[in-house]
Amino acid sequence: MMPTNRGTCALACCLLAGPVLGAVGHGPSANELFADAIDAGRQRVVKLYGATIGREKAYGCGVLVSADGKIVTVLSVLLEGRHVRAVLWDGRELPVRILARDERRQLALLKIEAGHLPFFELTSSGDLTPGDWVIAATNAFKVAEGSEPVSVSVGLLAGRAHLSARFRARDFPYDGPVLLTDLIVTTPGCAGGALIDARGRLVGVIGKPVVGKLTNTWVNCALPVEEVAALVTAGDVRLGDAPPEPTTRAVAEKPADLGLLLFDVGGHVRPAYVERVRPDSPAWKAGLRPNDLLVSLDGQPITTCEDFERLATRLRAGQRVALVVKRGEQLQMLELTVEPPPE
Amino acid sequence: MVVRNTRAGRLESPSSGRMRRARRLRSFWAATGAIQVAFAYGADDDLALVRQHEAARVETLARAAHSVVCIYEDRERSGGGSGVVIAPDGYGLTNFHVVASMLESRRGFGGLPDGKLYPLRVLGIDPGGDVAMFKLDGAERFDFLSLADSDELRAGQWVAALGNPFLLAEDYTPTITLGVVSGLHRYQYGQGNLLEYADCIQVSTSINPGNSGGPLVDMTGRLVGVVGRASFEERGRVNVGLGYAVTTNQIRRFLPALRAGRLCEHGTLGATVELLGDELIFHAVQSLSAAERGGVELGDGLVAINARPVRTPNEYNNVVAVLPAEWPVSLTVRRQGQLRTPHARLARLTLRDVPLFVPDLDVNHAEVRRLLVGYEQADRGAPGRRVASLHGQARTWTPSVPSTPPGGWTFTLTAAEAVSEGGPDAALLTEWYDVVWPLLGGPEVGMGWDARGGDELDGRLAAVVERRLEGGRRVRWKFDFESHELLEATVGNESQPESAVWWPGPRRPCAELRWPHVWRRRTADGAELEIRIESCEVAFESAERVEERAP
Repeated sequence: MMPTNRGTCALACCLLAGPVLGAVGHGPSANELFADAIDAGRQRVVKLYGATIGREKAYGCGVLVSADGKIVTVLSVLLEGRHVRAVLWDGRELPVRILARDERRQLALLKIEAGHLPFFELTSSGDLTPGDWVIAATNAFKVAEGSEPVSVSVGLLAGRAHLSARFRARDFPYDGPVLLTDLIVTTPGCAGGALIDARGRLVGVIGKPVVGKLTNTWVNCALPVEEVAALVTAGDVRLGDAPPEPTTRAVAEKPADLGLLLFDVGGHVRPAYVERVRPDSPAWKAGLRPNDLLVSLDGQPITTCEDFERLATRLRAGQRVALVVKRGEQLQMLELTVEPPPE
Repeated sequence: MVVRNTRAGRLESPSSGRMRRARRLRSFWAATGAIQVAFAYGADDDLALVRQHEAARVETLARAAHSVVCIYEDRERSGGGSGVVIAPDGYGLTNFHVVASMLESRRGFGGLPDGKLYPLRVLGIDPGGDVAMFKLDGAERFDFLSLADSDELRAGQWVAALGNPFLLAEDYTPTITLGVVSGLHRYQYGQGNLLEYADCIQVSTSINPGNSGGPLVDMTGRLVGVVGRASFEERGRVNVGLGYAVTTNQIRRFLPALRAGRLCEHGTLGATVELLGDELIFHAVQSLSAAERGGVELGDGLVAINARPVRTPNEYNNVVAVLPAEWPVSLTVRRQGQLRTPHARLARLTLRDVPLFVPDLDVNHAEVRRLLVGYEQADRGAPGRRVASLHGQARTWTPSVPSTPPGGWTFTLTAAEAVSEGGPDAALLTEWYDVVWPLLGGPEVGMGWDARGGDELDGRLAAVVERRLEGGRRVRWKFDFESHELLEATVGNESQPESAVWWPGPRRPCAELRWPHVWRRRTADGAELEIRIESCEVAFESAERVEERAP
């Protein structure tokens, strides 16, 4: 039976709340602790929409850093769209102009035409120590639309570190200090969001979802506010700086040049899936196609991309090798003739 | 409908003031370079507060854990999810998708932290809102969580989820995860119109497979939602800090139907809206839809529904999708600059792809009995066979009882004249008799009886019982869902089930029967009548006595 009336309901509440009531007189309430910070933070984060990837519209967020509409966010494919738009906390939707791209920090400075906006002061994250509360205000999974407030989660500053990470298959150019947190901020739409402290001050901007080189796991990190301030004030950040050459080993094109690119995204297990086959290359002539899984080469088993790289370096022009691939649920036997590398 | 309870929020405010003072004090000492002792004192004080608060939280959640159920399909504990008991007699809530595989047998098992596995029956289901009700059997009394007002939640507030993620709870002790409310009034699309999460709570609390159906509780240990969904995408089915819970305020409206073992249906206005500039416009209104019948016209601007402002299509979905079919709504629309307030009852939203679900009549009739008896007990106390006779001053009227009820008891009823000219009208008295007789324990509950679900009357949640009589007549009783007080009864036919409304006047002791002595009736055309009992005598016969008398 349900608690049947107000009286019973109130009684049940008292009984259940007994131990809490004892403590309320002394303990802080989480609501009161973070309410102001959350309200302030949510008004200073904008939802960004831009280029279309496939059928999905790219989305993310940014932080307001001036009353006249300067926004800091991460460099991403979103900004490549013809019509990049920012949606403010009150539902206003405004077109975005890109002021500067910072390739090293992988940040971008944007501008919307509006005035009297609430914004984050760019101060310092120096007095924040590991174990302190941090609040992430982001539009993860674009749960919030229009005037709906962005999502918040509360966690701890886990530490500070120098970043050494990969973004997709490439090295991430920024290797400066980052704030690490126990919050999961590597989900779609988190990048560019605000990391704020319990008093509502901006301490960092949530970075792109990168994978640590050492651990091969997602790094939940934010660029400290000092780096953000440097971008906003720096005069030497030129529009459209060229991206640095990727210093990557992950793209596994071979000296013997079979015309084959493997799908190597890093991680613990790197199965040798074919990403791309150049038309008219030896691999193409042998019948290899994208999405094939390499199983063996000349009787030698291939379980990872590395296996294939190792075996492929031994191949010489003119050599004919037997290749086994898995296509769908079927094994295919292919014969490949190695050609001399092009001049 | 919602009982506002603001106590939790208000109680906690003084403490935070103190915390702030403590912090200010500390920074003051630090800033002025005060002696180390004072600083240390401040820190210890804070630490003590934190410890105290944590102890309170541990205690609260440990208590809440007693009501958390690990739900399994069979004794081998395969399948499964979580649930929460919300009443001492074992009624509980879970997700529809947790019990979806048990619909054929309506049987399952529920493990409680006392280490025992209890048999579980599936009662009503709400596939549209992803909620289901079950009942545990096998104990006199179960620990339960009371339902909080989920409209009182604020973003950033601590909430805990309890449940059985990854089926870790070998001994049925639930896993507790703590997080904050990340967002409120979220809308998450369902599959077609199934499993739609409207106006839901978004939490950062870890929600993993197996948490489904488990409770989301606030820091006073009250239920604020039922956890059932999370955003996963490319990371595999593990928590990434975005979980969603169905609010208790949504579930509460469906409780009468869920308890009665029904297939719950959600309501629809049969109209869609579109944002044109700043205004939300009705840009399609189906003919004969609830919106049209209520008086909404194409092109009307929507301002509010049930006094809640509606500014975006998401907000429109949020407000409507949490209401059951036939629920009353009052709209505020703008037409040519003028505000109007059409009233409507929502139509049924047709459910597609729902597994065949035949409501269990035994469960339904048990609920009818409970509601009827609940009203009697509120008046009279001891149960037993009743023999009641009411004597009025005007004349004695003995209604024709279709067949003598078992037990051999008689029923004589005398009513004073209705205030209508020309004395009591036989048809009117027969109607009144149809309304009050079942409340006195008259007919056996059987075919023709139906616990129909919920309704809202003057902001109160009502449970509706319907009885179909010969000739297509229908009587509906609407009881307050929590106190079981009769709010009103309606009489009508199939096409117009509520053409006349009866409601009891103030209660006055009337011999031993503390029965309302005034009954008022209003018809659709506005005519009002009153039946007043001048005096009455009531004789009760014990159940044993009745049995003795039975042949």
